Formats: sequence, C-alpha cells, structure tokens
Amino acid sequence: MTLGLPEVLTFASILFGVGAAGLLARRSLLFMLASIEVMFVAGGVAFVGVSASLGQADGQVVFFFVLAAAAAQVSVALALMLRFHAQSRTIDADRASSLRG
Amino acid sequence: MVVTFYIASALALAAAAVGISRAHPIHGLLFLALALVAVGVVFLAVGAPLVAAFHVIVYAGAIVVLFLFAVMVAGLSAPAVAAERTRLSWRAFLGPALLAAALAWLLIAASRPASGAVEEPVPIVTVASALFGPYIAGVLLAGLLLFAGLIATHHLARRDDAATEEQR
Repeated sequence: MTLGLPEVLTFASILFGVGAAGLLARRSLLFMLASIEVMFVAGGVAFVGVSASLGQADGQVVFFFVLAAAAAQVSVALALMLRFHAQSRTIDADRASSLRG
Repeated sequence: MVVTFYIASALALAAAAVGISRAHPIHGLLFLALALVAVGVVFLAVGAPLVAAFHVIVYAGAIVVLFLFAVMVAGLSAPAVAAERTRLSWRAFLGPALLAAALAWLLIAASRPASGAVEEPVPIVTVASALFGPYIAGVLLAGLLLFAGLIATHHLARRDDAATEEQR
C-alpha cells in the first residue's frame, strides 16, 4: 500500500483552511501571523507532495524558497507588531485602524 | 509510511486547529510548535528527509522562538488575555470556519485531477545538486531577501532619534 498524491494534497488543503479560519477569526496580531505561517506551511506541503510523486527535486527546491519567504515575512511582520505595540500598548488588529503618520 | 502519514497529518491538523483558537499566546504557540513538528513527520513520510530537517529547524526552531521572543518583548498583560478569552466563543469561529471549509473544499476539488503515488524518497544529493546547480540564482536571491528582511527589521526597531532630538 503506497501513499497517494491526492491524500497529501487533501491534507495541504485542509491545513490551509485551518490557517485561513484562524486568520479570519482572530483579532490578535500575533495569532494572525501564526495563522499565516500555517498557510505558508500548507503551500510547502503541496509542493513537496507533488515533488515526491514526480520523483524529482524541483518541488523541494521551491519549498526552500517558500521557507526563506516565510522567514523574511515573519521577521518584518513581528518587528512591525512590536512597533505597533510600543505605540498603542496593544496588539489588537481592530485598533490598527486608527494608525496615522 | 502510509500509517505514519495519516497519524502525523491528523495530529498536525488537530494541533493547528487547537493552537489558533487558544486565548493565551504561549499555549497557542506551543500547540503550533507541535503542529509544525507533525508536519515535519509528514515530510519524512512522503520521502523528503532534507525538507523535514530544515522544516523543523526553521519553523519549529526559529520562527516559533521568534514568536515567543515577540511575546516576551511585548509582555503579556492578564487583562489582555482575559479580554481575548471573552471574545473567543464558538460563535466567533462559526463564520470563518464555514468560509475556510468552503476554501478547503475548493482546493481539494481543484486538486482532484492530480493522481500518482509517492514512490521512492528523492535522495538528498539530488535536492542539494539542484539547489546549487540550476537553482543557484534563486538561492542567492533568497539570501538577498533574508538580508533585506534583516535591514527592514533593523530600521523598524530603531529608536526614534528625531523625536529625542526635538526634546533637547
């Protein structure tokens, strides 16, 4: 019994959905960023699954690029979050609507 | 391999779902770390050991620790956690869960034509020689992207010198 590509892609789709639900439901910037990380991981799982079913390395190479993009994104986003927290003493995304200057 | 995949993917989905619905940031991040390690096991099950190792090192090792560091710097006030807890009812997740379920169903339906099985693991040598062969420009650009992220973070974290000079 071998593992099929549809199972891997189904797992990636549901994981992406979990991340999307967290992004929509939460108002804490920290959890919104964590949900975005979950969605990044789901995309990576899809790439690696296709790479494994084709028996080629290209999907895994793309996973490394996704990894680099996620790391760069989260570092800048967390710095922005800390900046926002230093200004308004909260990480509530609803309060970010009153940002200016 | 198949059993490993099913156990690890179920664990990853459950831990991610629990992790994004915790009121306390530390609890949520620990569940998220568990989910990320489980995804690493999924990578092992589909025959990508190099990806599994990098995934655990970078996501569970670096990114979750970065989140924990942000929590440490921002500080956790008990009133904020209590306010978050009152806001997090099952009702708050109803609409997002419906929308996300529709999105996941669409993605699954779109990937229906994909067929094929996960055969032999791709050797690490193949991945490494692809990274440092035809994809070397991409690797260098990824390094530049991380460097740009470093510079942006440095600028964002800078204390506001203009404001302090005005006070003098």
